[in-house]
Amino acid sequence: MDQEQQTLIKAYLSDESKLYQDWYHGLNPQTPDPSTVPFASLPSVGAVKQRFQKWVEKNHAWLKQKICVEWGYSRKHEKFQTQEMLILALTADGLTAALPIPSATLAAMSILVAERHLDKMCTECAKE
Amino acid sequence: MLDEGLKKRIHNEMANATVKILVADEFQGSGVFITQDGYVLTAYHCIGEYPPTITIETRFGEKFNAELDEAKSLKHANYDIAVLKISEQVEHYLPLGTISTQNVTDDVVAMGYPAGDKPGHDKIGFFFSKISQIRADNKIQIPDAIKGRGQSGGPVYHYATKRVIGLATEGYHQEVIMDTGLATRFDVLFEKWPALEIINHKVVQVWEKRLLALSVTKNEERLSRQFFSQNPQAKRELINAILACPSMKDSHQRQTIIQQLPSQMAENIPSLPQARTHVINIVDTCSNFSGGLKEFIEAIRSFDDGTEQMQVVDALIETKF
Repeated sequence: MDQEQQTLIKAYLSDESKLYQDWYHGLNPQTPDPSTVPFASLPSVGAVKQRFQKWVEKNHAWLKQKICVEWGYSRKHEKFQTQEMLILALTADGLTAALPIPSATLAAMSILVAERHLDKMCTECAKE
Repeated sequence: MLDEGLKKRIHNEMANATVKILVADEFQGSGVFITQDGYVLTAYHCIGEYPPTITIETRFGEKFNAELDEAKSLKHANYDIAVLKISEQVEHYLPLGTISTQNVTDDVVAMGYPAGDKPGHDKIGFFFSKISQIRADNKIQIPDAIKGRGQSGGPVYHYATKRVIGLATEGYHQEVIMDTGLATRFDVLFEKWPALEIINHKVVQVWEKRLLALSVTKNEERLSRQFFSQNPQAKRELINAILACPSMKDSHQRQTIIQQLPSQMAENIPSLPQARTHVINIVDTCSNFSGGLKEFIEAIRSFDDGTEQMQVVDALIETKF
């Protein structure tokens, strides 16, 4: 178990603002020149949440296939006592590496679990 | 060299085309209309990936939903440009242009809404400067004009070419270079969006006409009582040139010309037999009305068009007003 990842997940689950900002910055990298800073305003957590929802909608089919069907979320998730352990398990199984975003995959997986996106998505999937 | 009054009018036109960019109803940055049919440019990082909704807000408070045109946009590290489109026709838009290293040290004005999400900063800002360098990565470096968060996507206008030559994108950390920012150029946008060349050419023509109209207004403003009170010599020269016109020598013709003026002006001009006194009176009355003296001169032209004296009046207005 990667201690660094575990610490980061803990931080994410206790700090919603950090969780969403890290996801946002992973998705929208800063300027490649380290001596400069982009001059757009920083979005609020509420606005980033809306953006995340859009991301989920756009990648819904992929997420359902990989996490609900192939990983078997509905069968497995109750075996984990904490959200932190669930996120780590999802991560350890290589799912984050395959997420359709270039970076901030750990943040993305943390949001999917913490906000119960996967519960909803995979329950619907099981009914189909 | 542009006079200050004309510069202000041009800045006002540019401000009318400069907009706020909102994503998920939150202010993110600045942008600029570039076509009549509603294309807007901003920095791509103002929009980012998976924007829920994009809204354009003009300085008049009008709001329009916009769509991101991914195919035309540039997510490149050195070319940070989002092309947005609204479905409305717009009145104010600006032409794009490109510059080279030869334009370093040229005058520019950067516009936009730095700190636009903070109370008291919701008005557009104008920041005047000179290009300090074109960097190796093709970005335009400008000191003292790209001020802070919220200005990304705002246009940078180059006076010499009369075009928008870049969009503000970022600023140096204060410990690297104080109060200096960068703007992305349009060279690659023209390559990615080939039709833009033709589209922009039409916008250039409209803008050139607009600039001409703005400079004509300059004469109208100067032919005013306020200008004359500060420039009595110019007033005397104009009165002498008008007095020399053949139609001004005859009191009946002067009266006929006065009758051609709008009634609110004509009613305030007494009929006087002595030509100089009468013309001074007419000029004083007409200069109290916006565009009044211009109307008087056009009325004289209906009698004296083509005469040497009329040409003297026109030349005087062109050079001194």
